[in-house]
Amino acid sequence: MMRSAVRALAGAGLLLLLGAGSALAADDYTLPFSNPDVQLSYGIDRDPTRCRQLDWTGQVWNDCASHPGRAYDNHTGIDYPMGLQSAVVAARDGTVVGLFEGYGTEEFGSAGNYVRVRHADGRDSLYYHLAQGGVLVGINQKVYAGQQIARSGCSGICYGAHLHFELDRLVGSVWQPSDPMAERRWTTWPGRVPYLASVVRESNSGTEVIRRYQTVTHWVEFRNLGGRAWRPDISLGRLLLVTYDPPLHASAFAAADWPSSTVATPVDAGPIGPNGIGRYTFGLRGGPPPGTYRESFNLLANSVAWFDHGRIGNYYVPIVISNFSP
Amino acid sequence: MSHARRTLPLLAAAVLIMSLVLAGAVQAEPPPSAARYDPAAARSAGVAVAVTRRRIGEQTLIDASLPRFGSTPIDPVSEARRLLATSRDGGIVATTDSYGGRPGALSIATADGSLVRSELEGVLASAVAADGSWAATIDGAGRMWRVETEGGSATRLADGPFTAPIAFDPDGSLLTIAVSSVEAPASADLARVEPATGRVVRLTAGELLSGFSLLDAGGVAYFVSNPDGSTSVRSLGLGAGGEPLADLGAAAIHVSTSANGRQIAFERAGQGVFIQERGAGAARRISGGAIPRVSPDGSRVMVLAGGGTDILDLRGRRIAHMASPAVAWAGCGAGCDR
Repeated sequence: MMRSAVRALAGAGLLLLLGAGSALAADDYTLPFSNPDVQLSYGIDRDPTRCRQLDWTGQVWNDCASHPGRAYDNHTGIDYPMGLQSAVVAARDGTVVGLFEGYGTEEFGSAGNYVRVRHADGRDSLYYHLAQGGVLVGINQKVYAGQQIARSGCSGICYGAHLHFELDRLVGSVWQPSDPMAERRWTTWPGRVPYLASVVRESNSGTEVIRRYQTVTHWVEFRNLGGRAWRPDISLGRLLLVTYDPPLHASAFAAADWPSSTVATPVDAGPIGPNGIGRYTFGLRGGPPPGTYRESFNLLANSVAWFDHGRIGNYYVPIVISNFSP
Repeated sequence: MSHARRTLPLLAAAVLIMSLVLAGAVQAEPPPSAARYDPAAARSAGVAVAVTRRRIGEQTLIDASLPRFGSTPIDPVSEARRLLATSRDGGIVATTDSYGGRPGALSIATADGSLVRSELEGVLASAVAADGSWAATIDGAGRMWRVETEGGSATRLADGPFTAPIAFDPDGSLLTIAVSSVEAPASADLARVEPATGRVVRLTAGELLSGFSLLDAGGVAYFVSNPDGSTSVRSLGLGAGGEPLADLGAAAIHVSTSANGRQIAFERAGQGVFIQERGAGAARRISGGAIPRVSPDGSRVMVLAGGGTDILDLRGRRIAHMASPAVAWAGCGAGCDR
């Protein structure tokens, strides 16, 4: 009896650990930008000794040199080269606790423009070298993972346009850098941008022919190529299929099952984790007069983070409204 | 003694020696190379710095003509920043080849046209000692060096990291900003460094300073970036700390004060140059331009404008214009004698 009790406890403990790990992974960090083509140039040096470096792979370098793709001496963050004014997004949900945007976009000097966000795990993320006037959030503002919070620049001690991303944690009374790569803090490995998708298939990949005043059901499936899970409800990662081009315009084809004239549907079921496929099912009503139309849609996360419309093939549904004889 | 018993101690000794050599090789960096030029050699090598002193009312300006390196167009802000420091009377001038460039050389030019160059790893800031014998310099990695004015040799004073600015306190110690990281400081505190020992004492804690100015009677006015994006000016004196002097509002950069701290000039992003006179109400805009610097006596402000430097009174009226952006106030004011 003792043994079975111990086994039961051990099993429960294991399940708890697995569950806790999954929850942490799902709510951990994603890359601080939305362009999946961005690559890191230098990671963190975890060894504080001058001219001795410990990079994110665990390799030790006994020199003061720079090692592309790895680290440079005493580097406290991760550098991501990107064009000026590129979108910088929150790596995780949090609250803005610091910002500055007065320096010139490419002004070299001892200080630069930045945003600092505090997260539920006690870490702060720092986004540095931002553009002048490139801070898009306010102090104490709550932000969602994937939400654009700034535009990149090259302000401060900057030798080429890039985003310096840093995670800090409090050790005693001192903030010290925390390495998201060495610590496997991304939601996936390797890390991914928060929101990215591709069209997999749809109920009708051709033209939807709709009789006037009738409603047809249409569905489309997207593959989740980002690092955040998609959810249908009001929670972290809520994904909606909404009208686009222009964004959130009132659709003439909104059916009765639409939550609003701009929102076609949330994802049918969730969570849809990275690499999963989410289906979006919605009606299309033949409201307008007979003719040929197209209705564009895009994915929107947490009402603030747009997907790259170009990367989902500028998704739209071609529609023909046919004559109706009652 | 057997062969093995003779060999093992020798092997152990060899391993120990090799370890020591390797450790030494890791720790020891070659010192920055240095070169000295007499006036003719400096001109011939294209590294000469020409310095002119000009009197503006009761104040003295140092107008530096800097050598060109490369063919990139001159950016007035970067050019102005190349003039790092002057001695009190302007007789010694510290400059860098390219502010923000690497590797970056420090040049120290003296009044007779001779010059020394030290090949540091980029240069962020410099200050000339009162006796003119050396310059305290912060390199691109945030390390502090002592660079001899005579031969240009450099010895490391402290590893830091530190960032600009750097200045000599009247007692001979150095004031600078100690940062958590040179590239993206999460903290930047006012610090005192003892040149003889390299000992560092932080004078503020957990702040984010963007600069400071020395005040009369041994005080310091320092500029704090607040979390909400505004900038405050506070003073630190002997026995006192953190007394607020002014709140400059959002996006205030390039703050400068007079020696008594009563006149505070700053630039607000995209809006021009402002003057805040303590006890005289809100800050007022006095001109366009960039990087204002208040004269020691508080009567004038120099700003970058029109590719050069305007000298303004406190109402923004232009008194003079210098063609060069590399201009600085001499600390000797009306008492610069030569």
